[in-house]
Amino acid sequence: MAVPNITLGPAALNRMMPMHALVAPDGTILNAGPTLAKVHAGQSLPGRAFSEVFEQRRSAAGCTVRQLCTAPSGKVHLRLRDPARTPLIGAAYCLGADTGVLVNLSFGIAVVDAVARFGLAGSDFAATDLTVEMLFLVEAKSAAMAESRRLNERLDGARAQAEAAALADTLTGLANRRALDRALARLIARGAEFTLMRIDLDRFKAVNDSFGHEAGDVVLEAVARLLAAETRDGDIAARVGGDEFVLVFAGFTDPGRLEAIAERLIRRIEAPVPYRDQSVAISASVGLVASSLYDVPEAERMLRDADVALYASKTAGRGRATTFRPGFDVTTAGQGV
Amino acid sequence: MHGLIYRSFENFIRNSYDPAIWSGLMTVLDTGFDGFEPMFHYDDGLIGRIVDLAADRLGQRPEDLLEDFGTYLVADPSAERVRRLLRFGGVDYEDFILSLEELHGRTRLAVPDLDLPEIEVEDTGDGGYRVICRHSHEGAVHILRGLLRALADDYGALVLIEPGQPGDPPATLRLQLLERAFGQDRGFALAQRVSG
Repeated sequence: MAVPNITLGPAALNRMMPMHALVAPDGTILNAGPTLAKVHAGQSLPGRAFSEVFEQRRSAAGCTVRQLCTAPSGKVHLRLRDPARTPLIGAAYCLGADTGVLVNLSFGIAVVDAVARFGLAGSDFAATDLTVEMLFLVEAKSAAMAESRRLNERLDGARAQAEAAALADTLTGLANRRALDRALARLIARGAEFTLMRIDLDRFKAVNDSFGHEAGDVVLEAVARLLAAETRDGDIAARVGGDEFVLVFAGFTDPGRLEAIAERLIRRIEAPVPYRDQSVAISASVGLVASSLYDVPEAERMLRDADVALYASKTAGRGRATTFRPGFDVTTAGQGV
Repeated sequence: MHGLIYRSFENFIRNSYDPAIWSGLMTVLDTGFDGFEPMFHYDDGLIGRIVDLAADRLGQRPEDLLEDFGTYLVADPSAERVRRLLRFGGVDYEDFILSLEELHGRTRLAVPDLDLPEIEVEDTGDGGYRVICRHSHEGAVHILRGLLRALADDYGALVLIEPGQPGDPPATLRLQLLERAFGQDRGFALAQRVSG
């Protein structure tokens, strides 16, 4: 069946291609679709030169009818000569030397910005144009992404909270054993020097027995505050048992200086703690060990050695600090250092 | 059922009534959580229990509460995103009515696991439409009724919405467009972004 040649007038062109330009052989715009006219607000397009309104992108070529007609497969990359230099793509079809060229334009991927800039509506696009569907998708996808992001933030907040709770001692808010193990593993992994200080409260059981557990808790909280005050950022203060604490001093291995810190801590712990209308007095024994003592420090071994030193403090009469040294063992610990 | 639907209903109860009513519902339902995550999936049967319980607490019929929910989705400022996504459907109310058939597919493009009703629209002439709403949850048609009413206001159209006639499939609505430009169109800019 023969397909007839048809003639399309401006009304047909405007409906089928609201962003078309019909350009005469001399480059004058003869007709512009209603949406193109809207985009080029202020000045009427018919009668103006196509090359005054548009320029070629990606090419030094101009916008003459001959250049538009020679574009491979009719695809042209144009730019509006407006302040935003709006990019356009177009399909050009040469209508013959006497008639000129028909260019049907589109915003391509820049459509989201262009629709906002020119305040375009659904009625500005041909019924077959998927621009509105694309804008719908952009908006729906952005909303879904935003919802996903909010969910991730909520989950991350909950995770951080759960992690903090899992690493804290509930009574004192100090680090717990798990947090201590993690911190020691990190210090050892990066080869940092540090000193480990084990603290055992003396006469704590007596406080519990004669004043009750509530008094015991008050004492533990008071001690925890002291320990937290004595440590710096990067140090660790942990409660690892009923009345057992471990401090980690990062970057310190000088025994003299650490023993002085330990002595000061013991004296402060010995200051009576007010409980109701009475005051409660305890003391503490301390065992110290420095990471510099080992070729390859191991957390378990250091904790054990600090415990040996602590035991030495206890057997030597409590209320004192002992530093673990090579050759030190439980059998000699009783004699003191 | 998709968490977006549960979460929208939760927001509806919280914003239109009282957050305390919502927490009361959740206590009775004893699901183990206080509210719904919009990107999660929940048991299909839960929505019916929530709606019935909420209607009972508020002294309303479930279908009326669902209709109000539909209205809320379009008219309440906190649900502006839904209004906008629906208005992408058409340049005027008639265009919008005809686009209801695409609702299911459009939604799936954006959120593939969100299962909205499949809607069939038939132009019965003289501004009349027959709208059939097919969904696993039979309450969906009541939400659609509220939504269609609110969107008529949004477009500034005057419309009469009635239940289906004898012989119509279940979950059918009969729509009569009385006046295209009865009131002010709330307006819709294609590229306007809603925050959040």
